[in-house]
Amino acid sequence: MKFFDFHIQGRDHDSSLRLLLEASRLGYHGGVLVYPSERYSDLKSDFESLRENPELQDFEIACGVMIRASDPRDMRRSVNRFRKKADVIYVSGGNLKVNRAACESRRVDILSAPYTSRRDPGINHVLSREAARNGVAIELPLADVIGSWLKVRARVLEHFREILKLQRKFGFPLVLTSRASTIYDLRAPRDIINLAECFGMKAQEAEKSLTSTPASILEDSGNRQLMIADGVRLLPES
Amino acid sequence: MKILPPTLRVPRRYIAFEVISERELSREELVSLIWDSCLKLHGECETSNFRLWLMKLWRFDFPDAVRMRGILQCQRGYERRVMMALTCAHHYGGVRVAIHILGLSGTIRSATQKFIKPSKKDKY
Repeated sequence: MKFFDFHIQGRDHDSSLRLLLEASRLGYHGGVLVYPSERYSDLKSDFESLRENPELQDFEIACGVMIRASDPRDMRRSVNRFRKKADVIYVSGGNLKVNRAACESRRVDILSAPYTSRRDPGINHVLSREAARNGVAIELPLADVIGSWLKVRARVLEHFREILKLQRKFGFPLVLTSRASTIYDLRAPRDIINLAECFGMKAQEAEKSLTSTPASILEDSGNRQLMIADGVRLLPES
Repeated sequence: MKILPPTLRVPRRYIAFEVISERELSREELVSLIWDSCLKLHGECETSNFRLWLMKLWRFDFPDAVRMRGILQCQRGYERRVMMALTCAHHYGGVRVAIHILGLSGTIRSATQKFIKPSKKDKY
């Protein structure tokens, strides 16, 4: 079973390398280094050198871009700009219109923390149905649980429970991530599965969101350029 | 006071864990961190069932941080809740901390032999 940490915040070369080595030590087999869209072009060279690093030979690395958009139009423009450059496209949730636009777009891979700065989970049955139809995964970053306490933590757990309830009904992909920016934010896969029990997630569901769901997103990302239309894929000449 | 007969004693489990912190934490600080984390996540009523006791602590080398490994005693049946709380520990007195669970065992001896010894993978 291959565990993926699907959101490791990428910074400069050394700190990213440190994070990836620690993730590898904790039992992950792969991870996605996520860069903010504003700094993507500066940090892309760091990512390329990390990919060729011999210390990370057994560790699968992918490159992600976090898009923070103020409105759906801005989001679509950024997604079009980065779609061919990055392996995984993340949209930062919170704004209801952006949440909806992300769920309705096939070009977005992950809607990250749709509940941010909201009193509700940020998605409802309509958005859940759209996310399931377009294969947009919802990201639950455990940094929000680990890094908060008392009222804030209780509210985050409440949102996670609501999202999980919708996921069980509509079946959109769900990924559990650490959203680590330092080694102190990383947790081992087994610890994450344990912690997911806090908001009512079963061990099998948590395992799936750390293993098969990230793997299928990466596989789809690899095949994306060969997809001509829905259900039609270009095969190489034999 | 005379100790209880084995049938009346509370069944125990031993959690082997690893702490990574910015500076070295004393034993008292670590105990306080574990209790704080359990109380914050589960509340006073639930934590009273855990019967926590820090048994042993070792220090290991680690680049750019301090790494310690220890064994925590808890009541059988509550191990998962204690492990959840340990995972949630994030900082103590302005010092960033991460606790990783190494394993669960029925005796201190087997927990030490199985989980505390440094492995080859730990070397950077």
